[in-house]
Amino acid sequence: MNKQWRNYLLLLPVALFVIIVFAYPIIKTFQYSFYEVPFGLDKGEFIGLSNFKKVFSDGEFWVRLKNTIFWTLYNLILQLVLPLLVAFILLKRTWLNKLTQSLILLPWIVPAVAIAVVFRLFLLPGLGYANTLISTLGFNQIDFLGNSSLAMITLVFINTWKFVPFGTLVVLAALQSIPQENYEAAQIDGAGAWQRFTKITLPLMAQKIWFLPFLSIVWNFNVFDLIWLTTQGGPGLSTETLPIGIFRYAFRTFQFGKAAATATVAILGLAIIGILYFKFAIPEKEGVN
Amino acid sequence: MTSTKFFPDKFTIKNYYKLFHPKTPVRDFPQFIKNSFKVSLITTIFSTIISILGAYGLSNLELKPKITIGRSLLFIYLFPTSVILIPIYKMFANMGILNTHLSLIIMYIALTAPFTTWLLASFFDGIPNSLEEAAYVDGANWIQTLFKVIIPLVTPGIITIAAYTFIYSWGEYTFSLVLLTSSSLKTAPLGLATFTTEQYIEWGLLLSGSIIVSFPVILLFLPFAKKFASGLMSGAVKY
Repeated sequence: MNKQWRNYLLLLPVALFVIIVFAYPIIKTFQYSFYEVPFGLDKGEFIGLSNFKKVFSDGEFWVRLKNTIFWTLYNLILQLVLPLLVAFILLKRTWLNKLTQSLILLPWIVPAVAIAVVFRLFLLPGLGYANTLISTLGFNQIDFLGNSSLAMITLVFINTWKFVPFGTLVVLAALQSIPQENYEAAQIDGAGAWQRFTKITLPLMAQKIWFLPFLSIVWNFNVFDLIWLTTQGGPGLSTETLPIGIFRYAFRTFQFGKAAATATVAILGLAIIGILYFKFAIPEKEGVN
Repeated sequence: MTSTKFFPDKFTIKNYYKLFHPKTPVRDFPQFIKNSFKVSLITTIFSTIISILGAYGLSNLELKPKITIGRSLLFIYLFPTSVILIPIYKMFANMGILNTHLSLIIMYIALTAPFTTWLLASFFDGIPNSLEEAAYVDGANWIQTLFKVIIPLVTPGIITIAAYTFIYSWGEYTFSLVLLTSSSLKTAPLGLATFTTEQYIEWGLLLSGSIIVSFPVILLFLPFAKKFASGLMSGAVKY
């Protein structure tokens, strides 16, 4: 057997799973968005742009879109700044830092349901530790997740707390890959700490971690479990993002067509961000697997 | 408002006892744990086998298709799964396997195998070609070479991806919510989540449940913590 063919054959099982579970369904999502899709097995009937018209005239869609943009943006900013700070702290190779480096992934692997439960209890007015502390200090208790103007930002922090370990390791790997000679040479030339950071660290690191912001955007856009398990999109619509909306349309009010139309809009939005991102942010250097 | 203390003053295992002696099938926590073990174990076995085959193939490809396919696999890891909830639901309904563990296992293999294939390929890349060639000279075919020479050398990588797959399947919530409806089939995260939507939330019970759900993944993660971190770090700066 030809050796190259053997290699492709070995990749066939994983390719089949990708086609069945990702490629085929995404085509179906596009198709469903133009159909009146019943809940059962029937195929439904073509209704053109009706689903989109229904979605766009639904005020809730626009609230969800706005929430999604804020949710993704707030998370993105925090998830770029915090890993950078933590990585600089962990850069020094002490035993404590090495230990932290290994254990830092814990929040990332603990099931979302456990994180949601612990944070809900922690922030609960009356019972929660956070509020017990606040009232012990003599302040009024805060309903972090039950207050519609606070719930979103509280969730952003919980979500970022879960992402920071991953981001930190990526930034740390990039930092450690910068050759030390660069700094020594710059120091001899009389460059200060800030100059070394902006002229050496940032540009060299950007080459390595250019994909991190995009990863953060797509992952955060897609977060469903953490939001659903803490606030279910509430109070009101204050933490309803598009994925929550898709789920609600599909499995709570059984409007598959509207759900598919919302998903299609989301795919197109992400695709535009992706295309722009790769056009402007991809580094010149070609990577090798 | 009830008065609260910063530290609880009574030690009790009452909540754990209650969790493991359920009175209704809706709250059958031991069953949820059993279901989670079943789904996660089967997923891990199949996903790991598929990844070993795929990674070996990927690692031996010519440079150009290797980079293209490697990147594509990594991009699947980024895939926003919320946009395919409806077709996934419909597809499994058409196949007649909605509300079965099989549907969940298929889903979890698809969600883990592309990434673990990519991750494992870099372990295969680390094996010098001379070892393989020596095996061929000795008259072994590629299947014998793969199993006798190569797989023993990438065991750390295989253990890492197996642990990753188990941890992922164990904690997954969204697709279990979409695909499972019977109480008796629910996995631990899904079963535990139903406790949170009740009228009166029993926090003690919920917290004990969260600890039990987290325990296996933490136990499984700790020995590989360093491997995970370094594997992720070396993979992260490749592109």
